[in-house]
Amino acid sequence: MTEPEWHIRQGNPGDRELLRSFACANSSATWQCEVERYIQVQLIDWAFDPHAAEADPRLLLGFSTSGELFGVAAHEKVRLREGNGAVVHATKIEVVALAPKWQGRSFSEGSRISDVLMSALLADISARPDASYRRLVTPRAQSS
Amino acid sequence: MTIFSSLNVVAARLARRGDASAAERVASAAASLESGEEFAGLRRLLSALPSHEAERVVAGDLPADRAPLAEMIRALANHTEQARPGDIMLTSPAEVIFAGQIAELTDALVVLVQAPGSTTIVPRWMANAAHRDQVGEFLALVADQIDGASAVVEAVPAIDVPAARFSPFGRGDNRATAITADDVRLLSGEPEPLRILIPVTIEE
Repeated sequence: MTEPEWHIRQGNPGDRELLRSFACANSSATWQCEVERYIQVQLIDWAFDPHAAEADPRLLLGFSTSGELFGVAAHEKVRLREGNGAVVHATKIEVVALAPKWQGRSFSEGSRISDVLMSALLADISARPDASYRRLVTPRAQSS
Repeated sequence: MTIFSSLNVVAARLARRGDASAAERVASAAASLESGEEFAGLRRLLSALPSHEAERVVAGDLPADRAPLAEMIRALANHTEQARPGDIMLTSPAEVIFAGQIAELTDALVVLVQAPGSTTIVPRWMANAAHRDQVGEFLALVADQIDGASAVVEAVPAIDVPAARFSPFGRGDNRATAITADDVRLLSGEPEPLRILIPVTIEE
């Protein structure tokens, strides 16, 4: 069995500089730039906010065998609120992004790179002991 | 006159409910707002007013010729709303807030409309005491239940705050986690296992 051409690891506070240089946007797409800026400037603070530990925020980084950061994903537990007070447990996918060079491509053994990153994200969410957090929420960036 | 962010009250209520982590987070947001430029601007504008006029502003009576002050208060209200924790429900059945716009007036009553089909009636003297007794003005009612058949209701002056630009990121916008009754029905029951296409090991 061959070794995969990627490895995924959890992010840590020392990844701030690495993320600051991560690019994923087409500069003509405003909403993509919003995602990119968020990853570069705010994502580390979001992931390691000591006041948010209860939400168990998780940051995942995908690297090629050459050590290049190809993708970033993050998620956390949320409680969705309905106006009359009903509460639903879910997982909010904070962000999923691939660097432009890796978008629309596959590794040599055939796995789409985007599938690898999404599989890592879903596996991490599935690992939560409480199955109710398998409900996924992905608020969209607005194309304003 | 000393001005504090209303988020301090939210933090205190959270602490009283035993949610120390959320209380700390909201108190931190309050401190951040209070040390910001808008709060400093509000203090500066209020301190420039005669004290009786500043007290009227704090009571909700905003003079029409004070546009910069009104804009400052709206901006602060917007940022306060964004910082209000979306994952915490502060209104319980015993603690209800109804905020709306005055649609009609009679000698004795004010008709307050929150949204089409959501209307309530307020004694005019209550609206008057909150400096809100003209059609088009905004008023909020805060009700604290005493027992099954009684409550204390306070009329509080309100202002119209334009909706802040939505951001899906972070924890600052309640709209990211707001759902409807239809959503609740759709999401009920045990979720299906997630379909994972490629086995992936995640390293620490």
